[in-house]
Amino acid sequence: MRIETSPHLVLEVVGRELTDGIAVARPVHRRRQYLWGLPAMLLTALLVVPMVWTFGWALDANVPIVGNFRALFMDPAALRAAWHSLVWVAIALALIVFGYCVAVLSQHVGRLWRLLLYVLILPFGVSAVVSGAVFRLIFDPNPERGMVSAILGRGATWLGPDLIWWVLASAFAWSWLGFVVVLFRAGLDSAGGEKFRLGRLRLPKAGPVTAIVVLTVLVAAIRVFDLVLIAAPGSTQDDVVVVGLQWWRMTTRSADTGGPAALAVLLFAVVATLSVTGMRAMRASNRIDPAPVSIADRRVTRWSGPLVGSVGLVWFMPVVVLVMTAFHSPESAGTAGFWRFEGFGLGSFVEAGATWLWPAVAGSFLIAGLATALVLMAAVPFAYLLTWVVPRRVSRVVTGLLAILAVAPVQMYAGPLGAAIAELGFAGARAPLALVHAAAGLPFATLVLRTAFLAAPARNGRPALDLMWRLGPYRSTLIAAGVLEFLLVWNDFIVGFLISGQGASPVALLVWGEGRQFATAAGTVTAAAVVSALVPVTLLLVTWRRVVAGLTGGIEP
Amino acid sequence: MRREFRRRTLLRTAALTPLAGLAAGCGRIAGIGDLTRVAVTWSAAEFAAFEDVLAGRGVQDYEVIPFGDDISAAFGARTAGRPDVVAVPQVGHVRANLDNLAPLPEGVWDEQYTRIWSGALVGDRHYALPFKLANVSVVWYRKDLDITPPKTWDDWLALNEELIDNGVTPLALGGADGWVLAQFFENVLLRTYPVAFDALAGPDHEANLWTSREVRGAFEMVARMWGQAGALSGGASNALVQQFPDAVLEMCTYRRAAMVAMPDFAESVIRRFAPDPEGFDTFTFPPGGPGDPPLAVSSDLLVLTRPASGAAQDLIRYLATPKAPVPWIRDTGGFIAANPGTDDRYYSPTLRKLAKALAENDIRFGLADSLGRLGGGEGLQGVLRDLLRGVADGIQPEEAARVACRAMVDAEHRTGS
Repeated sequence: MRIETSPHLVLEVVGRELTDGIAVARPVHRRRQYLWGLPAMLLTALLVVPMVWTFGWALDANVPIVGNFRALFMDPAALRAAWHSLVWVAIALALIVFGYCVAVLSQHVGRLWRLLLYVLILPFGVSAVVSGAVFRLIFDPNPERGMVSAILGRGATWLGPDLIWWVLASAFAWSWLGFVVVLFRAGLDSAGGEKFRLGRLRLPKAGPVTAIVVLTVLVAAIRVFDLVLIAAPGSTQDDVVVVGLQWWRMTTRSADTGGPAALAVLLFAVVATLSVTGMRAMRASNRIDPAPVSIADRRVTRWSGPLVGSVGLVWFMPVVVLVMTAFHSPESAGTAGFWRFEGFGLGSFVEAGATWLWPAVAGSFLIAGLATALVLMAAVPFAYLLTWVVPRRVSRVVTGLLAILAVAPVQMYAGPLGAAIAELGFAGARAPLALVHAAAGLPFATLVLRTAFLAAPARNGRPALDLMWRLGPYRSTLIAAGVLEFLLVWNDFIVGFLISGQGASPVALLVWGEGRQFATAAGTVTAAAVVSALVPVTLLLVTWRRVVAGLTGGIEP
Repeated sequence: MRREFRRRTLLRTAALTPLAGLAAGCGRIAGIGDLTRVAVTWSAAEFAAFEDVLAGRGVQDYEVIPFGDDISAAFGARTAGRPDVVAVPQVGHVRANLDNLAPLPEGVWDEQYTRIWSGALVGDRHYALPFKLANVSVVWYRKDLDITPPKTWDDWLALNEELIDNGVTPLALGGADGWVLAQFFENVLLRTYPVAFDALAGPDHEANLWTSREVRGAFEMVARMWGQAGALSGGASNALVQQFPDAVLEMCTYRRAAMVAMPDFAESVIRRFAPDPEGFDTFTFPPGGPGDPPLAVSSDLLVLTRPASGAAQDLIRYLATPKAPVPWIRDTGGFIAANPGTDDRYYSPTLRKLAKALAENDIRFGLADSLGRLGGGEGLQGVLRDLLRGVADGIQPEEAARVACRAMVDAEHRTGS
């Protein structure tokens, strides 16, 4: 029996059992097939049109084209923000090196690795708002509440202008180390113990994943926004202002659109350059075929056990702080540290739940679910078209554009898009917010899926999707794309904040709102944070193997 | 082939059904419902207290949306999810958004409100209902230290010195919240140089008012008090990372400070977190000169956005009744009703005293209400933060005051006010 399939039947991913032979899609009229790329095109337009608009604003000045940019280079506040963003790049690079070391050492720790992995990957599912809140709590200057101040005494002002950088960097590292280590480890395991030279050292190669890791973490560091907003008290925010935050301040402080637009364009230019360079590097290193390795040569060195173990302990500590604080009554959590064995209770959950928590969780579910569904529905046919239907040259150009769009900062489209949404009467509404999320997530999902399609077992032209579902890395990749989109949207602060304002009420925004009187609200803030983190963390812990496999092109950790 | 076709149709329908469901659900998801949306800036205990107030009406036809600091976003143009009722913390926001507002329903305006804010009247209709008042010229102190409340600024300085000599830290300061610093300065200026205060709060003051003898004097007084060695709990650098409730806790829970200059609503923190909520009293922010200068006040006003629905008008009508705020006054505390008819027996003794003071004295809104951007982080709040940092680094009060005056002139030019 010959089973007819055609590329526009995306729906076949539901997993129909194939009874015989390898099905190869029949050539269909190209023009009609392109219709399946329409949803993706529309979503992309939602991103690109406002970006063009922003470009227009940036170039429109008294002195045409350069005027706004020149003003930026004269503005000490903007220069300071740019300098701080560079500091973030340094923090990201340090974290990558640290993560690489942990990954290398982790090869020697045997069974401990499993445990460590879950400890490290857990914070990756937690939103930046929550991790910022936890670290603000840990470094609270008050010795009754702050763990670090209790241990070291009140001498140093941790949230003050000098030491706040440590707090922010720790929170960032806590969130991202798991991602770095797990991917590096997967890369190391598949690179077969090959070594590269760095000065006198001979270090094991991590292969193509290196580019993914470096790119993702760098872009995340340059786009830091909500972390600063929640972790730094109002009086020290000027000392750690970053480009993204400066943009927001400029938009709220004056009606001028040119200055912020120019800043957004500069930010965009930097991350886009990074992205294109990263993609090049990935293509160059893609030639190495991943091959399974024997584990025979792994010696358990004496000190990697304790070292990696202590990293695990340190990384678990914030979870303890978060959960223990949440299980204190609001009165107790607001005045005393989590380590006090009194004042336990569910009061904080009750109080957070009594007002806004449940509607916000429901709202987040709707937004994240809707956005994920939209992204997958648009990205699957789009990636399929890019891989097998459009001419190769077009495909390469589109892929390059997608790589740039995937890292575009929200500031690049938030201004015009927010204005348009308000004009249409949808400000504070959830459906348009989900649509914007879907548009923002589409490029990345398409790129990931395309990589999977390229690796699909196609012997004779285009393969059918259902075959790939069974044999190729497609299933893992689809799961990876879906999970990551859901996580990103669920944990999002900045898109909701800049596009929709408070009205749409996703959880992260409300956690931040509650944190305005931070310390005395510690109970309700942490309770809300625990509830809001449960969903993404569970999802991540259940699916992370698939996610890693989907991202690395089939390396099963 | 036919069967094949049917299978495909089926699959397609299966995939599209949830999409259709989503589309149908969009109206609800979009937040376009029948509920009256009430936007507030309150969070935590105050948010819960306001919900108690609304629950007293017995009709569940509303939802309260916390807007954080960004209340002006609540007025965004023609939005489907736009709030119907907004609790505005500064009169300046009402002025700036008059175009988006609907007049109050007939019968809720009390002539006595005119004393609080006359700017609510446009044409012959009122556009904002004062709901909550705050007495800002208040200093809280611990009763267990046998402090004699100072009557003048010099008394206060002397008291601080005496406390320091006895090993007690006199003050806690919530410097992480810019408005706390701004209110301290406003109090000093208003209670020492009321004429200069009125000139600055006036609609079109000149930038060089900031370098006047009075303003510099007020900055210097502030710098002198904050800069005195041992005056601030945890030191000035710690005061900078402490928020308003933390500063209250320094006094009422950790007992590391004897006093804290905070509005009446500090009571809600004390009631909730102090082991002995009765152990504290207040004195009026001491005047720096002779006479009886006005008290600083702030107010939360309720406004209706256009077009005001019947349900939203009903909600305002309820909140305008004297009994509406009773749950907040009685159960949470830290609330002074703007409505003159609200029975004062629900107040704690301290709050009753503070409410009475507002009723009997001349009152003024803080500078933040009239200065707009110049009163915020780029202006007064930022300048005071730098002043606090300066004195922490040992800069002399005279010099700190000069720097602050110059910075305010710069800020005035920068913000284009």
